[in-house]
Amino acid sequence: MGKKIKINLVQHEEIGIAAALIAVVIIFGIADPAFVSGANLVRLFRQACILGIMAIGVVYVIMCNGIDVSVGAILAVSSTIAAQMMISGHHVVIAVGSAVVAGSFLGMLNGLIVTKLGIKELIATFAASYIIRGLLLQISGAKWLTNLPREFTFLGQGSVAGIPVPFFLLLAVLAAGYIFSNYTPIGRQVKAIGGNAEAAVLSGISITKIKILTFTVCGFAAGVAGVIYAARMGSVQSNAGEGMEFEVISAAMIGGADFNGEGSPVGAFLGALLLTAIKNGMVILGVSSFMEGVVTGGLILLALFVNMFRGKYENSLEVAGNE
Amino acid sequence: MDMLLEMKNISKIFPGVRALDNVTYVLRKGEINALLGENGAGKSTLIKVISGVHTPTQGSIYMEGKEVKIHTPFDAQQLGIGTIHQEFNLFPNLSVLQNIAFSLHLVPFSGRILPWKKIRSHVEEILDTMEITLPLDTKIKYLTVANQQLVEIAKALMLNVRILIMDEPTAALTNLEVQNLFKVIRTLKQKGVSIIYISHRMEEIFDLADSITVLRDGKLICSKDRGEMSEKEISRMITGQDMQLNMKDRQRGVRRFGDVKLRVKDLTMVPGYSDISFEVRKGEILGLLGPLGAGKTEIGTTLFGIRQPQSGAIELDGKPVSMKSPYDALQKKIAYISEDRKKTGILTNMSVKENVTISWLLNKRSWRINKKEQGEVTDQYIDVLRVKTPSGEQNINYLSGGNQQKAIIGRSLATDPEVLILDQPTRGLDIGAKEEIRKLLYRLADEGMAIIVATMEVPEAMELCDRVAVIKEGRIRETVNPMQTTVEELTEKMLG
Amino acid sequence: MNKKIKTLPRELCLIMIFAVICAAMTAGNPKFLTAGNFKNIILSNFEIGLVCISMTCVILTAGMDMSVGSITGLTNMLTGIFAVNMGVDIPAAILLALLGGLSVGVLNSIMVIKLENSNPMIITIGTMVLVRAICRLLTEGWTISGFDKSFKAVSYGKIAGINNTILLLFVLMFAGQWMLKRTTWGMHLYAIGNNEQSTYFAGVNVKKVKFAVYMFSAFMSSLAGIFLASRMMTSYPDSGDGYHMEAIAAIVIGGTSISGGEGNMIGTLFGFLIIASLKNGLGLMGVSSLTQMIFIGVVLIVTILINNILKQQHEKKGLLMMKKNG
Repeated sequence: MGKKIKINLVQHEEIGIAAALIAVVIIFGIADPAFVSGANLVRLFRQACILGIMAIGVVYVIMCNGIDVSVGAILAVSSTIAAQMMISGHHVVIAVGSAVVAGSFLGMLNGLIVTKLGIKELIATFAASYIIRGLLLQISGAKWLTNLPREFTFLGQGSVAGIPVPFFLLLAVLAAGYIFSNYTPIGRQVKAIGGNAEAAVLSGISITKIKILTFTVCGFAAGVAGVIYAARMGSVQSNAGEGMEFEVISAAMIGGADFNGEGSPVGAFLGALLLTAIKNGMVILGVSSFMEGVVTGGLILLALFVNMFRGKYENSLEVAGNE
Repeated sequence: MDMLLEMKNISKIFPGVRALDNVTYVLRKGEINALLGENGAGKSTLIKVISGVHTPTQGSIYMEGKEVKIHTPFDAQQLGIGTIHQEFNLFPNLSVLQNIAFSLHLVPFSGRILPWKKIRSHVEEILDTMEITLPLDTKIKYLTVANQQLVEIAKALMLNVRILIMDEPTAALTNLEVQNLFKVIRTLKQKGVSIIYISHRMEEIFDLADSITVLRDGKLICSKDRGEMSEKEISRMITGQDMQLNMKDRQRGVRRFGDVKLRVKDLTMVPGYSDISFEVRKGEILGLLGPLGAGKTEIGTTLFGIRQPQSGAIELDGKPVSMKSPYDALQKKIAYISEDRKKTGILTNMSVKENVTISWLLNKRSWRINKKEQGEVTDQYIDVLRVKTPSGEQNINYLSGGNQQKAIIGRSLATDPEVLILDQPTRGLDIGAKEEIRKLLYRLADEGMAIIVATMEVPEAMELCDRVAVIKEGRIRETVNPMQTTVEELTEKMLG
Repeated sequence: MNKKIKTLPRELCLIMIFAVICAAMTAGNPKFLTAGNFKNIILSNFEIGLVCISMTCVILTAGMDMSVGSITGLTNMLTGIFAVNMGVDIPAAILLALLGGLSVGVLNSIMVIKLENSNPMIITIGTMVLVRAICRLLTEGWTISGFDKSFKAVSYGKIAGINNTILLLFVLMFAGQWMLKRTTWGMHLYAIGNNEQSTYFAGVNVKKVKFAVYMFSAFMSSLAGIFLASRMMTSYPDSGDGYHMEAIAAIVIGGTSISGGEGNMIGTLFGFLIIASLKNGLGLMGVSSLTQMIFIGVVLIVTILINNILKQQHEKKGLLMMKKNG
């Protein structure tokens, strides 16, 4: 009985990430206790929300053997729409709703380009990001949208019972993602496609439908993140979200996602927390912010090595268990 | 036992091929029927018709007396027909439980939310009745092949399977695992499940099956209860009485062999093969005859440097050698033609020319490709091997399987090997192509090449080889001279 | 079956697309179609062109190198640090910078080979992030200027009246095409992209080829960084940013498939010219660089669609021929 539990634990990649996260917190905490102060932890959670939500969204695309480098562009569109509508006097709900719908719609377009036009994900979403950003500029002009009303910025800057509002959104997205992944048939189908596409087709799964869905979900997440972005900043510039793509993908992959169906929203969430914690910690320690990239890059490579070793370890463990 | 499945006058015709010819096949409830036949006899076509992958060109299917149409795999599943192919349809990144749960879309759990607690207890219940234990939360990729197979069986069980088709289930299992599998199969039988069991292994069939059906050339030759036929008779049915080989007519004539070219001593690589010893002389064709999973491919790839043996020795011209890679082996004048030309043979979408000359080019000093020479070498082998292609520039994908195989043989020959190892070289080829390759191998042997042919087909081994080593479960059982035995005898030795 | 299937050779299509774009750009601003302007186009995109050449080779093997831009940045910064901050001789500085870039190449190669179950894309995203951070770390984000005037000769020198870099680009592109089609090394690239297992079984040392191709990629990216430093007479930490995606775009427009095994250098040359011309021409028309992105994105999608249709036609034709020949 004991052996069985051990095997189960090790198999969940999330345990590894959680351990790394705890280790980082401890290390930074020892280096400077200010890191683990209540105020800083709250700040950390607030900072992690945008990256976290987007990483959860992109994880499904990656699990299906795809990639989306247009998430930054979608965030820009969503922020701009939310901000613009608030400035024009619309109700918060309408503004947020429009932004999120726009994000989902753009995500769906990505999915259609990939499945119906048969263009590979990397190029398709790259072209899409260019077109989206270009069009956004054309339509909105290079305006800098500022002075967003309080009821809106509350979504990004406010707190309820000491916990930042965006964090509630992150948890909601995480919960939705968790239920989707583990408790819905479609969630299983996403992982199946990445694991063995042929068997998936034989099981009657429509790869086209599922891929469009994953891109739509990714766009939805970017849409939500865009709202939070606008709310937190209190203003939106046209270059919002530029360069975020690879950070988002890194967070998901550090969290265990790969192109063969491995990955989970929880892992992506933890990956985002980890990256944010490192960023935050470095600021507190006064370390050059440029080191952040070194650590992120190093983490990605480390995660790949860990994956490889875990595979070998699990293999021998299981073979032993089978005898 | 009453009738469960009746296939009446089933014919399946593909352009130019009659895969099934007026076959009437019957299966009773709780019956374990062994389906035997050589490659190309029609076994897999019959299975595909039952499991809905193919629709019969003629004939009809009845289940429990009522006619049914099985047009898709889904239809088959609805009727309770489950199939376990040689290559499993499992998701390596999902757990056992999750894989099993996939087949539940047909069973009352297809709501929006998956109630894992209920699913788990449902699965555990069913596995218990079958006395199967599986680590439900382990991902498939960490499971042994034997356990993966049990997962496939579990999937079928979830479908309330009435007929379970198993295609060569024991090819990759140890003896212990086979026994475990048989226990499960017998429990299924007790519950009234019928099993169609495809295998080459006679001893298993005699252990397990209630009845035996033999197919040959698309026709059903016989279907008898187990006790009614001896092994010898079955062998004869499989290979066909009209295939009496008149050994005197063998076209090879008097053979003169040179020195020992390749010697293998106590070669061991477990699992795979153990204590393999044989020698091949110059000008000799040695056959490695054995069923699926016997170890032929493992031995061949070891001699070619793809695998490394754990112990034992390989000698070329009396000197010990070790092959560290295919390149190394080619340098030592050993060439290998793999059994799966799609996976490890042809370079898809590249030209015939490139496919033929890729190994030959490795020995050229300069990186620059002499296009003229390349063309000449290609044309030479296209001619000699009679590869049917409009030109060397043709994309190799557009060639027929036989011609692709010949191109690959050309690739090996272009490196001027002294030892040639072929793994099932005529698999999937028509009679004409088989003949051509046979003649080619004779000629190469006459010119002094040492040749090893791994095969599953007894007549081929007998016609082609000067000696045949029978391999089973990784060991050489005995080595025979084809001139001193018969097809039936040899088949018995291989399967028995 | 007497259907005649029309197929156009892919190169012809690319020439036509290029011509159409040139015509459109000229219509927008007649200054586009001048020799001086074309010189400009090549000069200002030369470094990306270098990267395109090696990236084509990597993609042919069904691999990917996302770290090319970061390596460019690294050598760009290292050149400045050695030549300006440390006062080293220009040739020595270049050599040292090159070494720096090549060591990243070694890292990439080894990891791609060792981590065989991991996608090269994600491996090189790791190095991309890592190396870019190092670029910024080297001078805490400051740019470096003050190169010795002689350094300018690298980018601006002329041979027989033609600018260095223009000559070099075309020579390398054609040399690259030759290498792909007429050497065994090139053939091995296609073979690995087509079917790595079969290539191994045929006796090719696949690991060695992969090592070489990622080193080649690092080498070209390193050169790009050095040339860029010479052209700008400045080192800046974000140099090379975005090169990876732009190179991929050019290569894909040129007909090379991301899944490997298909494509050639001439296609890449045209893809490169198409994107470079678009950027230049639109710029001449006063279109902001952000708006340019719309056109680039659209051209990208349209050319890929055209490529796909051409491929389908080719396949149909091939199948037809096969049936005829039995």
